Amino acid sequence: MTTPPSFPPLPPADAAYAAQPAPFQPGAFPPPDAAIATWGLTKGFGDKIAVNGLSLVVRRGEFFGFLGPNGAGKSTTIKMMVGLLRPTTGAAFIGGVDVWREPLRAKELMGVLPEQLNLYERLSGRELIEFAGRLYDMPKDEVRRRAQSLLNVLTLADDADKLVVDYSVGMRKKVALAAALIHRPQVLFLDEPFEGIDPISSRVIRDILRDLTASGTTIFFSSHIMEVVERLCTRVGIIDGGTLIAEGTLADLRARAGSAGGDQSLEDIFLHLVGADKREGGLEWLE
Amino acid sequence: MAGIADLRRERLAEIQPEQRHITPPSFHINPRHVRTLLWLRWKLTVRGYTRNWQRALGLVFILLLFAIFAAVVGLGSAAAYLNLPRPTAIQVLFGALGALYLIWAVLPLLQYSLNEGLDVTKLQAYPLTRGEQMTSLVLATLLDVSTLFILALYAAVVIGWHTTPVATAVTVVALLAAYVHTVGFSQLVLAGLMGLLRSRRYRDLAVVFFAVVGTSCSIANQVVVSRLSRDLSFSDPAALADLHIDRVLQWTPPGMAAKAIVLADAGRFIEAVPWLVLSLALVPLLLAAWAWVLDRGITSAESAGAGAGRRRLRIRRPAARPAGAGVGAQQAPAVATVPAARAMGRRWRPLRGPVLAIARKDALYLWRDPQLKAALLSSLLATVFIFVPNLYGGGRASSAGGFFAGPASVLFAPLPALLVVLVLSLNAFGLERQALQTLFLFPVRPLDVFWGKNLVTGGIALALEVVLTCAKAVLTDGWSYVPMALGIGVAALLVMLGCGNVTSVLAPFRARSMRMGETSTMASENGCLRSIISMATLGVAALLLLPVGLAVAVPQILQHPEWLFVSLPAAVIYGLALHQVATRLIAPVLLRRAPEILAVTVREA
Repeated sequence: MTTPPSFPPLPPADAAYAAQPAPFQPGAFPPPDAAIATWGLTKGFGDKIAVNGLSLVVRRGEFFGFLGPNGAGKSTTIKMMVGLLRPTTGAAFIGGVDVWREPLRAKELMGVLPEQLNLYERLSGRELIEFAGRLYDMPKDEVRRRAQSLLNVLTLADDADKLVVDYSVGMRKKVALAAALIHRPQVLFLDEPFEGIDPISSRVIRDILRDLTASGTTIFFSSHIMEVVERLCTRVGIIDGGTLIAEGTLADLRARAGSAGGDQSLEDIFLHLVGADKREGGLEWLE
Repeated sequence: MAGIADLRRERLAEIQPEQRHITPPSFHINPRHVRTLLWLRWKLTVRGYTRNWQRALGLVFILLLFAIFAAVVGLGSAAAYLNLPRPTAIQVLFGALGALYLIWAVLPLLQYSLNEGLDVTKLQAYPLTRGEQMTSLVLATLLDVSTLFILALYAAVVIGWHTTPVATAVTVVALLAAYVHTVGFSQLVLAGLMGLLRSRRYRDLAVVFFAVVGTSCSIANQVVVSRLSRDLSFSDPAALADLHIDRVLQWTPPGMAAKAIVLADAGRFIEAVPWLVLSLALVPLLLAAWAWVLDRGITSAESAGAGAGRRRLRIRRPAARPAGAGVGAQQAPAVATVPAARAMGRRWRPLRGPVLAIARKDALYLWRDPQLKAALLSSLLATVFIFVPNLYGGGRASSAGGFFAGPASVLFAPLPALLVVLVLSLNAFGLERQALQTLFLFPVRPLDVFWGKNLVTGGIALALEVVLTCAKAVLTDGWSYVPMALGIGVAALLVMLGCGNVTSVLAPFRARSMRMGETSTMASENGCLRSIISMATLGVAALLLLPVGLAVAVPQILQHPEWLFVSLPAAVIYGLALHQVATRLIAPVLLRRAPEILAVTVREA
C-alpha cells in the first residue's frame, strides 16, 4: 500500500465538508505525479463500513487494476472518487484536484464508465456521445468529428441512430465508453467494463485502452476478469471487506503472496490474498 | 460432474437427431410440479405485498375495493337473473359471460404483467411439460385479485340458474368450462402478442395512451356515458330482450356454456348436453392452440430479447484498425485535450454549448420519453376547461353571460401553461430518473443545467400561453385583455420556473417509471410525506404568485386601467428577478447536494 509521506489527520466529512479549509499542508498530499489519490477514504452505510480508510496513489500513465470479491467496496470506492457518492471521511484527488472541493474541475479531467449504465436511453447512440461532448463545452464540429470516429472504432456506426434503449448490453457499454472518452480524459475510471461484452467488442475495447495508456491516460480499472487485469494492468490493488489489503505490481503481489516459483497467476494471488483459496465442504453428491 | 455429463450424453444418444430439434409439447402433468409452480406463484404474490407495510396496506384497500365492487356487480346480476323476465335474463347472462371473456382477452393489452408470477419464458430452463405450465397458469389465476370479478359473476349465475339439481350441475360444469375458456383465451392472446407487448414501441405507446385516457376519463365519463345512456335505454326489459345477443354469442365458447345453462334451466337437458359437450370439447383445442402459440412465442427472437431492429441480418466487421491506431494514438494531435475550450474562463454565458445540449436533450426527451410525453399531454388536457364555457354557448354571442365565457376570461387562458411548468419543473431532477447519474458525471455548471431545462419548459409554456390566449380572444372577442394575459402569464411562468429550480434541488423525489396500464404519470414512491412537501411547495409558489395576480387585479378593481402600464412591466420584472435570484442562490447548492439528490432519485439495481 502506498503511504504518502505526511498524512494529516482525517477531516470530518459532512455536508459542509466542501466549505472547510484544507486539512493538510499544501504540497504534502497528493504527490505531484499522482493522477488519482485518495486518502483515508471511508464510507459507512449505517453500521456497515463499505470502504474503510482507503489510501491510494495512482501515478500518471498507470493502468491500475482494482480487484475485489463481490461486495468488497470497489464500486463504492469508484463512486466516491468520481463525485457520485459523498465519503463519510477522507478525500479524493484527480490530477491534484480535490473531487469534493472542486467537483467541476475534477470532472473535466476524468471520464467514467460506471458499473450501472444509467444512460439517457431515449437518445440515439450518436446523440448521447455528442451530448457528452457538448457538456464538456467542446466546439460542435469537433464533437461531431470525434463522435463519428468513436462510433467507427467501437463498431457502432451502423446503429448510431438507433435509440440507446434498443441497444444490447455490449452496445450500451461501448456507447458509454465513447461518451467517457470524447473529451480525451486524463483519467479514465472503468467499473467492470467487460461485463456482458462479447469477445470481439472486448478486444476492441482492450485495444483502445492500451492506446490510451500509451498516450498518457491514466486508467483505473475494476474487473472480475483476472486474465484481462493481468494482461493490461501495470499495477493492481486488491480490496476486501472495504480495506485495501494489497497493492503493487504483479511481481510485488507474487512476492507478497509468497509464491516460490513466481509463476502464480493473478487469480491464484487474488484468491490467496482474500483467503478464498481453501474451499470448505464439497458437493460429494455430484459424484 | 463426469457422471452428469455421461448421463446427458447417454440421453442425447437415445434421442434421434431430428427429435433434438423438434420436441412436441408434452401435456403430461406431474401434480408435484404443478404444486411447486403454484407455490412459486403464491410466494411471489405474497412477497410482492409483504415487503413493506405500505404495499400490504395497499393490498388490503385493493381487496376491499374489489370485494365491494365484485359484490355489487355479482348481486346486481343475480338480482337481474331472479327478477327480470327470463328472455331478458338470458340476454344478461350471455352479456355477462361474453363481457368477461372479452375483457379478459383484452386485459393483456392493458396490463402485460398480469400473471408475471408464472412467466413461462423464465420456466423454460426447467424440465416442465407444457401441460404442467398451462395447468399452473390457469390455476394461478385464482390468486389474481381480478378473478374476484369472475367468481362473483359466476356465483350470481349459479344463484340465478338452478331450478333443479341437474340444472345446477350443468351450470357449474358449464361455468368451469367458461372459466378455462376465459382465462385460457386471455393467456393465448398474451402468448400470441408476446413479441408486440414486449416491444419498446408498443409499451411507449401504451404508457402515453393509458395515461392520457386516465386523465381524460372524467371528460369521457361526462360526454360518452351520458350520450350512451341517452341513446340506449337499459331500464326497459323488453328492449333488452330484443337485443338477442345470444344468437351471436352462442357460437363463442362462453356463449356455448351460457346456452347449456339456459337450456338446462328450462329442463331441456337433451338440448343442453351438446352445447355443454361442445364447450368442453373446445378446451383441449384451446390448450393446444395456446401451447403452439406459446412455443412459437418463446422460441422467437423477440421474446429471447432481440429487438425488432436486430432481425435484419447485417454482416458487420470491426472497422479496420492499423496496429496502434486506437482512439488515443490515432487522434492525439487533433483531440489534444478538452479543455482548450475550458480556457474561455468561468464567466456564465446564457447560451453556451452545455446549455444548448441540455435544452436539446430535454426537448428530445419530451418527445421520445413516453412518461414525459404522457405528463405533458395530460397537463395539456386542462386546456379543455378553458374552452368548455365557450363551447356551451358562451363567447361572442353571449359575452355578457358568464364571467368564464366573457372577454375577461382571456386572463385565465395562460393557466394550463403554468400547469405544464408545474409538472415539468417542480421535480426536474427526479424526472431525469436513472440517467441523472450520467448528468452528474459531467463538469456541467449548475446554472447551465437550470438554464437549459428552463429554456425548454419555459419555451413550451410560453408558446402554449400565446396560442391559448389568442384562441380565447378569438372566441370571446377579448383582444383588449391579451397584453394583460400575456404579461401576467410570462411573470407567473418565471416565478414558477424559479420555484421549480429550488424545489428540484431541495425536495427532489424519485419519479417511478410508469408501467403499462398505469394512469398516473408522476407517481412517486415516497408516500404521504412527499404529498405534504408538494402541497407546501405549491403553497409557497401561490404566495409568490400573489404579486403577479395583484398587478392585474388591483388596477381592474380600482378601475384605474392606466396603472397597468406600470404594474404589468413591474410584474414581469418581479418574475424575472425572482427567477434569477432563486436560481443563482440554489445553483451552488445543486453542486454540493448532487450525491444526496442522486441517492433520493436514482434507484440502484
